[in-house]
Amino acid sequence: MMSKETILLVEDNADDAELALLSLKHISGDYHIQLVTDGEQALEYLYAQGRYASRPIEQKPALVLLDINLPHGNGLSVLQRMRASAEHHQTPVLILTTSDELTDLVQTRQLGANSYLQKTVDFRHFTSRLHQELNHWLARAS
Amino acid sequence: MHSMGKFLNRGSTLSSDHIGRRLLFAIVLFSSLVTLLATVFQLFIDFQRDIGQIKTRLDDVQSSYLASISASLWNLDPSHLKLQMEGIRQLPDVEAVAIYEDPADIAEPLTIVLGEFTQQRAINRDYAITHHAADGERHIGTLRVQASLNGVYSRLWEKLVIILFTQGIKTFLVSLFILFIVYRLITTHLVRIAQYVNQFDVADSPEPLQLERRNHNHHDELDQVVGAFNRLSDNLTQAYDRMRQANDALARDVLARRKAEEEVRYLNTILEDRVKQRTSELQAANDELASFCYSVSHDLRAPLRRIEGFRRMLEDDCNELLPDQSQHYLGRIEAGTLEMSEMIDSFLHLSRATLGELHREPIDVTQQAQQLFTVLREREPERDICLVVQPNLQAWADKRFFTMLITNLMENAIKYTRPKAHAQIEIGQCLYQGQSVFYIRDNGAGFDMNYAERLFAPFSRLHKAEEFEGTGIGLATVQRIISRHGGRIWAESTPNKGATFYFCFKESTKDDEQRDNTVGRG
Repeated sequence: MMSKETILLVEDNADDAELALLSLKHISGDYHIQLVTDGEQALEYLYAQGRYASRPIEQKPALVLLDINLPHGNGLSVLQRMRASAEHHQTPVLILTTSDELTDLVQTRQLGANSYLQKTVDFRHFTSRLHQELNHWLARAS
Repeated sequence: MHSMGKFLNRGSTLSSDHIGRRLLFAIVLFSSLVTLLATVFQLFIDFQRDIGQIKTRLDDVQSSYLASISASLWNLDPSHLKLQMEGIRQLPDVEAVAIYEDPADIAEPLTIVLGEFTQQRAINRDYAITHHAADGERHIGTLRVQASLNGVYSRLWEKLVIILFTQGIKTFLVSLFILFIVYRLITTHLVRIAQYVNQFDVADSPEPLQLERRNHNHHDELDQVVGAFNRLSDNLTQAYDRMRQANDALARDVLARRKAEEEVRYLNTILEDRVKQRTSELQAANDELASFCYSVSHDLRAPLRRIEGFRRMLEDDCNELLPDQSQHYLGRIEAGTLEMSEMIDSFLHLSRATLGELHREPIDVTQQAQQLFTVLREREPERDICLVVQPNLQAWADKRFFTMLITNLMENAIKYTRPKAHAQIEIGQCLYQGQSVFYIRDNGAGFDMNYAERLFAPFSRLHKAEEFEGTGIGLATVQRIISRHGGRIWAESTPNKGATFYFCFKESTKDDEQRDNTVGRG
């Protein structure tokens, strides 16, 4: 494969998306960051449908950063669809959320999320956690 | 006569009347016995008299007839003899007469027999017939006279029949009369008394018993019975009245009590309904508030995070370009956002303390406190802090909430003992106004008792933020947990000499206290 590997970022809030992109700027490795802003778009991208129909389906994203609170189908239903299909059964998924509720954590784990990342107010802390997680899952995937 | 008719009409009653029947039987028996004895005696006397008369008559034969019979026999004049013998036979009761000539020196002695001699029921008498000759008396024959007793017996029999008949009638009449008298004097009144007693109903305030007795002006046993019964009746009536009054009073009491009970029950139902309604309203409000807190905390966090995120970018990108003053502003923005973030976290903790079910279980307070202390102490390893916990402390509480509670209280103690070179924290159990309560005591900064009421209010602080960090949520959370257990918490302190927090998980009634004590000893 000549093209760069992709990280799919699913985030509806433009500010949060910008901050996430800023955090991702300094990650090791060369990745194309694909941003989608709702669950429907996320699924279209993942399965090369609708506006992403022309995308070669065999190029799976290396990792998905998934916000839970999304318009048009929330993050959890996207996760469910992924885990139910052969294509994305194994694709690493990191959940992004402001919640630190134990129940939310347990639920995403049960649905097959690989990790759970709280969007803390301390941005430096968030960035370093994000880098740790990405290093871990991307190293494993490659 | 009327009474007699009534008496006779009551034959059937009499036949079943035990007194009458027994009386009649006794009278007839005794009277018959007496009659029988008297009759036997009389008959015996009569018999003796008749026998005596016959004997007298036979004696008379000797004096009246013997001389002439002797002469006739001497003269051998049979016709004359027969005439005289007929004369004898005419005497009452004499049945047969015979003359036998003495056969001593005569070839054909003369024998004349009149009538028939029988062997039974007869008295025989032989008379020697003598002849007075010159040479003295000479036995010439024998005269035999037989008197029959048949007459005597038949007269006796007639008498017996007559006596028995008359005595029988007499006995019957006398018995009847006595029965009538008994009936008039006793039985009729006894029956009346029996009827009266049978119909006697003490609830009816009955008329006194009175017997129907005419021309009665003396006091007899029946009057005594009637008097005694009437006194008894009076006493019964009085006793019954008293009982009825008592009963009425009791019934009124019962009625009043039942009414009161119903009222209480009604009020209880209303109260219960109201409590149920309020509880569910409260529950709904609580749930709403909890979910409100939850979403507010989350929704507040997101913009705060953006502020901090972009501030960080600004700092990273152009910190060197900014004047010191602006760098200081960036620093203040960071401090503000982090403080607010902590407050939101505490706020979430507080709201969690109201959420979730309460599951009480026995908790080893001593062990829990020591374990938590080990963890908390590691945060400030350089400090000299000592924990003293009473052994075998037990509580009946929710484990999750208990951990939250004891953590908060211990963090508090550790925080406020920071100015002391040697910090000491004690945890134990003591009696406070008769109730067993836990306490946690420190030798730290303490607080002014004038502000004790504000101690547990959310976001309230008794110390300056520069002295001791914190959001003012910890003790509010503690109090929320205690009140969810139905318990109480309060504190006593002297500034700079430390503070003591007292708490119990349930305001105990006697039973609870006993159970708590049992758990405590176990």
